[in-house]
Amino acid sequence: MHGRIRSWLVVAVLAGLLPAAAQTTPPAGKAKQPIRGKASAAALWVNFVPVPKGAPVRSIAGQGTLDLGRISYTAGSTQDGVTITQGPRTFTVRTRFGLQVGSPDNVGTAKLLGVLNGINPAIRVTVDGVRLTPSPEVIQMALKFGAVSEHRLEIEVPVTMYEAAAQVVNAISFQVIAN
Amino acid sequence: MTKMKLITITLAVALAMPIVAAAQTTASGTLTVNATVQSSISLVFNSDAAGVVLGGAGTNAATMNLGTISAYGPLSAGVGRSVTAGTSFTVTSPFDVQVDKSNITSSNYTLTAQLNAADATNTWAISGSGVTNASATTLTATGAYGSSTQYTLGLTVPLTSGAGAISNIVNFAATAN
Repeated sequence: MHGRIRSWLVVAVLAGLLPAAAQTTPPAGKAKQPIRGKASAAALWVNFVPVPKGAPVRSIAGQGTLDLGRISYTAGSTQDGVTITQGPRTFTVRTRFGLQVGSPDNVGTAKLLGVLNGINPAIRVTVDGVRLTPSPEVIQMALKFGAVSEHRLEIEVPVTMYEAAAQVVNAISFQVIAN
Repeated sequence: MTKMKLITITLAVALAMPIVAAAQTTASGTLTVNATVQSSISLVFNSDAAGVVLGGAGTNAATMNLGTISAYGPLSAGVGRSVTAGTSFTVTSPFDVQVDKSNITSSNYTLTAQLNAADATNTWAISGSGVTNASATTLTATGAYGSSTQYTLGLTVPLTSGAGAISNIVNFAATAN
């Protein structure tokens, strides 16, 4: 009887491992996907890309850097693709960037969420009009795999914030979840 | 029989788990945003209720058209006049200057004015302080941010000078203290 139970358990364990192995093995005849972002099942990847009229973006393995240059209320920005709008008590920095979400077969869509890491709460950061917070916020419900989607980034800086305190060196974490 | 049920349930759970995991496929990326905020101040000219309506009011490049001026003839609205008998006449018109600050600890500012081109005939002044092209004249060393301050442009024309157009540029500079 103990032998039979052991046999069932072996079958059960193998049954559990097989689908996982199938997910991590690239399809036959296809090149192995480059590692771009941290993917939970090695199936999805995220990449940041520059877009026309957007600020320069550098991206390696899902780690992107968006350079907005020097910004000020009166002088605007020194960077191409970055605009400044003056308000009575704040100024808003605007730019665009591209995001590409991929899967091995590039079929389907994913939900896009954004999280703001370590920023002065007086500075408002929005992506596509969604204000980001330290908690994940849904930005887009369905991004097509393989396509580059363009996104609006807006950073609102109070004029009362002193130069040193107003430095914007922040990281926005994006998470994509397959729909 | 009970043991067989337990094994069957275990098998069912084992088969179902990978399906649940596959449905929650996720990936993440981090976008670092770099921007250097610089402190700045801005200066704009505004029309004064008692003065000539400025062209380009609300900007830092305004024009003040005093119209036709003379020692005794009619003047445009917003233009005042005083005559020093036998010597000259002076026309005046008030205007407002507003300086705003952003991302700076400065508590006030210094405002200076300087003529762009020399004028050997006429005399220029801002709120009683003579303005030439030789050097900048300090109008205030403790200007308050965020509010319009009234200044008055004065142009003194000798009675001996001939008729003709008078034009010049007054360059204002605000410096944060």
